[in-house]
Amino acid sequence: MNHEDTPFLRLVLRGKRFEKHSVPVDVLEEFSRYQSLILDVAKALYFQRHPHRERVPQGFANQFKLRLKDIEPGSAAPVLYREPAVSDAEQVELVLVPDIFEEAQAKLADYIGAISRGEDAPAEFPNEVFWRFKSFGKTLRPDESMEFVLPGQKVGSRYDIETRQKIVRLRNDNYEETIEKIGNVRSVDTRRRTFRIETKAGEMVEGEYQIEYESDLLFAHKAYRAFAVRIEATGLYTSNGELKKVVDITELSLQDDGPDLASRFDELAELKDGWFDGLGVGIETSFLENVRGLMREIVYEHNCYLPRVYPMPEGGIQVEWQLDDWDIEAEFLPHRIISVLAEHRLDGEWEEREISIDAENSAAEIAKFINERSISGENFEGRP
Amino acid sequence: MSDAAESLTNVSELLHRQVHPQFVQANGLSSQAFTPFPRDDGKLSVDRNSLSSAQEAYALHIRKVDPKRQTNLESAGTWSVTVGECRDLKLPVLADPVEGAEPNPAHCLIDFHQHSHNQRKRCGKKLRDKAVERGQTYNPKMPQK
Repeated sequence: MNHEDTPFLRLVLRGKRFEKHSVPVDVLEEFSRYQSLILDVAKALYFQRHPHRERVPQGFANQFKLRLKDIEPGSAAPVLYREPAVSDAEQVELVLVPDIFEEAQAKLADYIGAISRGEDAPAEFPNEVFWRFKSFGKTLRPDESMEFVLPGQKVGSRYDIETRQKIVRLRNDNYEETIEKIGNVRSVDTRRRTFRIETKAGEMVEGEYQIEYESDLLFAHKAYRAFAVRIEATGLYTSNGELKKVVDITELSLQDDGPDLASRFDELAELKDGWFDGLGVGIETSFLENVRGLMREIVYEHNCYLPRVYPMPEGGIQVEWQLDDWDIEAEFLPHRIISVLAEHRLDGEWEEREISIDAENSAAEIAKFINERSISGENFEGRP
Repeated sequence: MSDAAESLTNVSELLHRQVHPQFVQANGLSSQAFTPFPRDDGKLSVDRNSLSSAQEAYALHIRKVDPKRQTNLESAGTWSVTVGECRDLKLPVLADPVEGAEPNPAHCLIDFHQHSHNQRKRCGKKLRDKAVERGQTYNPKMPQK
């Protein structure tokens, strides 16, 4: 028999990403997961019918291979075709019409349809395949859905994040979802290759990273609150819908608004008298270079976080660190005094220190003052 | 400012502050943006929301001309705190309407006068944190809804 000319499934994908009659490559992995799911349902059906068998017939999996051939409009509707069945199949039921794979397809569609409509799950749906729903559909976004339109049908069962979560929760299982998070890197553990980021909403996200992302994570960690990262990854959720951790990062980018010490000092060097509403004083060159050198030493030799750097109208330079618990400001004043003020965010405790800019260990002293206030029970294993 | 300046009492009223572009870096705001400079005599200029929106406050500010350079004053946009947040830090807010060629009836002063230099800096940081937490109330680079 020949399945080549008969479409096996029209998968109607709806959502913004599928407009213009196209499918992002990220979503293609769902087709492979769908094939595996049908194969597993078919295996389960086979064992239900042949309880005495311990294995499926040889070549079982080869009887079911899908190919993506067309994308029809609607928002985008890829059509999956079946490759012709191998003719020497051991079991006739594998190649009957409808064969066991078509039955599996119908059972899967019925199951998803029932769950999405809020009905009881069909009792005969095999338990063995539920684990597949942990990942099947994980690339779908909240505004997206897929509809399984079987041959001869005009409408099919609808599958979206909500339906997937219902299925997973029925089984009390963890599940995966593709996620995007933007936040500040709070810690990096280079031994365990784990990290934590804090989103703007205050959500703390933990995860594992692959080695290729380590340098960007460490750099963003050094910049702390001033430099966010954007991560696309697989999120592992509990059955209650709580994000347990991030696994398998697929993209990590530094947000391009972080501080850059060198270029910031270059900007300050350009300030002319009158820069601040006609009153600001330009920063004297040798003083600015002196502060630039000190800051380079503080950040790169003494491993302090990257601060934000601002000019002062009187010709000085103010450097600000916003750490977990402490706000620290260092005023570098033209009369060669550095005034460092630290204030605890919660209890209001504050400390002040004055250091001569010309003191031999001024950079080390400032760095010590900052580093003593940078660690607050975080795991700083990978702190640069 | 007259001796009998009206003290603002509506604790939820927003007070708009214009921030010079040099005090904004990497999505952060310098505490200097909310701390009076030595030239300010311990008082920080703001515009009250009941008489001027964040956008109007910005527009008025950048229309002013710097007398030395004869260029318009600069602002990266408006950030705001409330009268109540100032009062919590023991900073009275006084109405200080400006008359003359460039009138500004919304003009007010947050009075740091009673505080020492270090206390002023600490109050400035706290006001900055409140303003950042609230988010920019007018961003000239963003289209208005």
